[in-house]
Amino acid sequence: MELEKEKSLKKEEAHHHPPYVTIYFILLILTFASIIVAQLVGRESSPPFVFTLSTIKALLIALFYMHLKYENRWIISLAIIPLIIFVIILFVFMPDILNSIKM
Amino acid sequence: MEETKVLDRVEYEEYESIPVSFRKFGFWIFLSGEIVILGGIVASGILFRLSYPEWFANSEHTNFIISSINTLVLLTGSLTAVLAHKYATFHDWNKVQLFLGLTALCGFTFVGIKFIEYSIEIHHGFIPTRNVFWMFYFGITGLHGLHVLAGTLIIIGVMIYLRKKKVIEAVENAGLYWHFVDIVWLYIFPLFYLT
Repeated sequence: MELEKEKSLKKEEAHHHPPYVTIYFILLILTFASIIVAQLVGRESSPPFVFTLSTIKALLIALFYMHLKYENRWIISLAIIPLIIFVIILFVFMPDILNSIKM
Repeated sequence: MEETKVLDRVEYEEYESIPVSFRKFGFWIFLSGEIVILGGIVASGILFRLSYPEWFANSEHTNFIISSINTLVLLTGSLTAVLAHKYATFHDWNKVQLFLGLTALCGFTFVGIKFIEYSIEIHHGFIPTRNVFWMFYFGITGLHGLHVLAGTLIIIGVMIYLRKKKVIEAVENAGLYWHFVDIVWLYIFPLFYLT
């Protein structure tokens, strides 16, 4: 356990802070891209594109700004478990929603 | 005396079983709850969008220019929050205060812009009781706005706390909350303003 703790500390020190400003500009470009896509494709058919771009942005923030890329497995599991619950809830409600669209 | 010793040992062993600081671990437990609550609310909006054909007709009346500016404000706040944490690890506390101050400024700017946006919409007759879209819109963006305000107050609280004690994790946890609120906005923004 001591070894694991040491490893986690070393890992934390080793990440040397990712290029935060570069990531910020990538986030801005992706935001601008989602606005352009929504304007070009139209509101009705834009969701797959804009929500994919949102997910990429969310991943960049979670991995680099929230440091999940460098975090210990305990913290990573605390971030992933609620996401799994969230996805299960989505799939549980999906059939009802799809049925109501058909109607 | 014996009881105290045993208790100390138990606490020590518990700490050793989780190679993460308690402050950070506890804060992530809090964030996990927030992910399920806010995530669930936003997901209900996304699912409802699929089944409500009048969604596009209503979402055309939301102001995507104002909300794009607010997206920029939140992302800038995320950058300044993470830079505050970076300088905290270097023990450059003046810069930490500066970047936390900038993050708080972003928070107040976001809330101020939101108020302007709401007043424009209400002036045009788009109120929560108009239809289900506007109920979702005011409910979700309002709840998110309250979270931004809470994040801003947490950051101000940390700035005051840092004058007494220099704790890196306080800066990190305040930043984590800000980033989480930012991620939620990344889904709210396309839901109401782009789709």
